[in-house]
Amino acid sequence: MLEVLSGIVSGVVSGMGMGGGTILITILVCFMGVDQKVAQASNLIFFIPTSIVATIVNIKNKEIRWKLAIPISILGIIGALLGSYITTIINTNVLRKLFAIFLLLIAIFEMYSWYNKYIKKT
Amino acid sequence: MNKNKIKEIIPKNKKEIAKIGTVGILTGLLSGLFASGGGLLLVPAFVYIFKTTEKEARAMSVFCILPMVLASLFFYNKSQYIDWKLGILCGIGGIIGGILGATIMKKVKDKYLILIFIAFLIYAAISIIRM
Repeated sequence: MLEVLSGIVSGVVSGMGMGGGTILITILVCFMGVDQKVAQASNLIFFIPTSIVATIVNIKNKEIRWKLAIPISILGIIGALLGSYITTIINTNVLRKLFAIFLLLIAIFEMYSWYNKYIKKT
Repeated sequence: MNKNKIKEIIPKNKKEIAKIGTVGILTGLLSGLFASGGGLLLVPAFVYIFKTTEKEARAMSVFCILPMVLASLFFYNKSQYIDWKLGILCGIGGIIGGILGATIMKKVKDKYLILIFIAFLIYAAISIIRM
């Protein structure tokens, strides 16, 4: 039940267009004691069903610029294979620390764009 | 897909190739390494570098990340990090939450939600470092 609840919280965040995946991994690691690598793998599975549905809708609504989306997808696959290979060979504790730094960077970036969007403009 | 269409997809000049290459590889690396955060990089990249609308950027980021996620699964699966039960339970929650989130989004000002999101990220980062 807790697993489903974690999914709901992350789904709400995703639905609002923020980083749902980072939230799911964080909840699993911080509050449920799941191993960092297993938590990350769960997020991959978590992502698939909703994104397939969303993509079908987006293609129908003609929101995809193929000229841009296809080359980025292809290069992204190469990057993803490299990244996930690194994940499988590095120490879990190192990966978890790197993930924490990554979260801080996202927080700083979000603060910066929040400032630009709501404070600077008014 | 005919020949002309394939030609259209190949970027025209070197600058465009460099931009697409950097954004594509970096997003892929993040998606593979942390299994998340690709969208956080890709959405602003589409808006600010490739001048798409916010809506197009969100749509395309999901489209582009899907193949990256599938590619990442290969190594995660090979090293047996996939807990299918956990993943599927979270996924079921995700579908419910996604619908809820899209509904709430229309009602609550995201000005304050982003602040909660930021606070949570900082709290989580600190607790992970202290683990």
